Order: sequence, then structure tokens, then C-alpha cells
Amino acid sequence: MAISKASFFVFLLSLILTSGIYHAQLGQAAGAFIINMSIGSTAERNWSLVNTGDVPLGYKIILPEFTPVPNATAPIVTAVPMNGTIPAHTSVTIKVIINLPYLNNKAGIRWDSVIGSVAQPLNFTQGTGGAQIQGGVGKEIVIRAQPPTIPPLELAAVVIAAVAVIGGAIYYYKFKFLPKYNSKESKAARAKAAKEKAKEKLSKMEAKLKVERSKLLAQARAIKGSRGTTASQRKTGVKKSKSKAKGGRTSRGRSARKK
Amino acid sequence: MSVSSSCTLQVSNTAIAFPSTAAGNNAPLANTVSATNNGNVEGYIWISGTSWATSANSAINFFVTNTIFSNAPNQNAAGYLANALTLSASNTAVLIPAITSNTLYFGVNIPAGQASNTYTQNIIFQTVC
Repeated sequence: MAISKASFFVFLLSLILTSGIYHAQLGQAAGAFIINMSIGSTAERNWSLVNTGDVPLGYKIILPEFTPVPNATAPIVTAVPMNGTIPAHTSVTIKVIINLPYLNNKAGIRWDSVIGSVAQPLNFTQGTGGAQIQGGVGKEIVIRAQPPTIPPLELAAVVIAAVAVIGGAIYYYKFKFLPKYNSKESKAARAKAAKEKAKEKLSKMEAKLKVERSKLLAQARAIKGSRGTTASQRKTGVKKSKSKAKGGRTSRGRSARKK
Repeated sequence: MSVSSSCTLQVSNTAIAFPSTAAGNNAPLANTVSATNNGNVEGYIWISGTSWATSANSAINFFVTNTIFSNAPNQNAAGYLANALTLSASNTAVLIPAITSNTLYFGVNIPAGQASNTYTQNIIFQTVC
């Protein structure tokens, strides 16, 4: 029996539509996860998978693999849950957790990959021979590394270490150093040392004064000896004569000639 | 339940039965899988695969890149060698507009000296939008 073209087309179309309704498939909202995150930090995103069909659908998550960046450590992505069953016309939220390690990473590095999902009928069995085909939806993940922030745990460790060092120093000063410093023996030793130091200083000053005194005495003698000489004599170093031959007075005040 | 700005994926077949092929030869790019996007936004097809292995002993295998694909039969659209399948998902650059299907063609190169056996691999299609 011949079937008219129009009715055949309608029959074929209804067959396709019917098939589509009962064939469950995964869906998702459009849009990539673009994440700017500090090195050493962890970020989370919620990813909704939808079962658009009329029957429950199993699913499993495929974690992303990042193309290696030279001298850098790739992000670590996990998902919770990794598999399950989505009732008909229902969605499930997958928590995607991204960790960007400190090790070898610098601000400005970019990673790009896809976290995927595949639908599995509830009665799925793995076939053998040939290529087994599975389909699902994937969400692109783009990660841009930002400068690190000091995590609270590490900051706390630094603060505790600093407090321990300062506390230890105070303890040592108060309970070890000060008692020793204030002891009788220590005080006596310090007093003795101070005395000796003062003595040494005094003797140095005396020696200095002695030198100055000698200089002044020499100057005084020089001035005294130069009285009665002319400037030029003083200059040439001619000594004042006692003038006995010229009839000058002797020390006794008598004229030398009289004798 | 409707989801705004969404994409979906449905594949036309659950397996590709490549023809029996001798070692050192290839199964041509003639084996098809159609992917349908019933969402309201377009998406790109990303695919990945596993290495070929026997069901009895996974150590007897040959690498995933021996599977090649293209958006045109027997070659890719630009006329270059077809793309090789990889372990991690890669963008085929094949776009599926909303409420549309698109087809990929697959072939396999069997390494010379490969032992005679029945080999299996997985190919995963994903719509990324």
C-alpha cells in the first residue's frame, strides 16, 4: 500500500519527536567558569546538570586535565558528587572545587580546560569491540592566577613564632639575666671595674697636664731669658751678655772695674 | 523543566563498529556519529577518548591517537590530515547551533605489527556552551 508523501512525512516526524521525548539527555546553563584566584587559594562553583528527558538518567563527572604550563603547577579540580542519578525533568547541582597550589605558580598564568559529564542509562553496560560512544555536556573552566595572599593559618604560625621569640627573650632577661646582674658579686665586680676605669682616666689626665706644664715652663724660661735682648738678637739667638768687661754691674752690684 | 540559555547533547549511536582491518592499514573516515543540541544556545563539540585495548588484557593496546576524526568524510574541511583523538577533551571546532545536529566522521589507523584481536575504546562527546 502506497503511503502519501504528506502522511508519511507526518508519521516520520512524529516518530522522531516521540523518540526525542523518551530519550533522556543532559543539559546545562550556558557560560564558562572564569575564575580569577589567588595562588594558594581555593575557589568553588556550582554547576547544574539537567535531565531534560522523561526517564531518570545516570551521570558521571569527568574531571578536567590542564595543558601543562612550563615551571608551573596545574590547578587541582574536584567535584562533589562524582556520579549519581537525575530524576526526569530535574536538575542536580555539582559543587566544583578548584585549588591553585603555591608551588611554582606566579600571577598571570592562565589555565583552560573543560569539566565534563556523560549521561548513562540506568541499565548501562559497557560494550566490547569498536568505539563505545557516550555523550554529555561540558563546562569550560578558565583560571587566571592572581598574587597570593597570606593564608590565615600561615599568618597565625608567624605570629605565634614571633610571640614565642619575644616571650623567650623577656623571660631570659627577667629571670636569668637580671638576677645575675643584680647579684652582690656582680655589683662588686662592676664597681671595681668602674673604679679602675676612673683611675686610668685620672692618670691619663695627669700625664697630659704634666706635658702641658713642662711646655709652659719652657715657654716661661724662654721669655725670661729673652729680656734685654733686641728682637733681632732674640731672632738670632744671641744671649744677653753679663757685661763684666763693659763695666756693667755684677750680681753683687759692684762695678767690675773697681777691682 | 526549562532552563534558560542552555545547551544539551544527544548522540545518535552508542557505538561505532569499525570494519575489521589488518595491521598497518586504516579504516577510513566514513564512520559517523551525529550530535544533537536541543538547547536554545549553540555549543561546540569537544571530544576525548581512551586507548584501544582488549577486554581480556588491557596491556595489549594501541594509543588513542590512532583514532582520527573530521567534520567531513575522508578528510577534514580544510583538506589537511584529520584530527587525532586525545585522552583529554579537545575542541573539535565543530559548532552545533540550537536545535540542530552535526556529524563527525571517524577512522582508525592500525599500527603495523599490532596483534590480531578485538579492541575497544571509549569516545566521549560533550557540548560546551
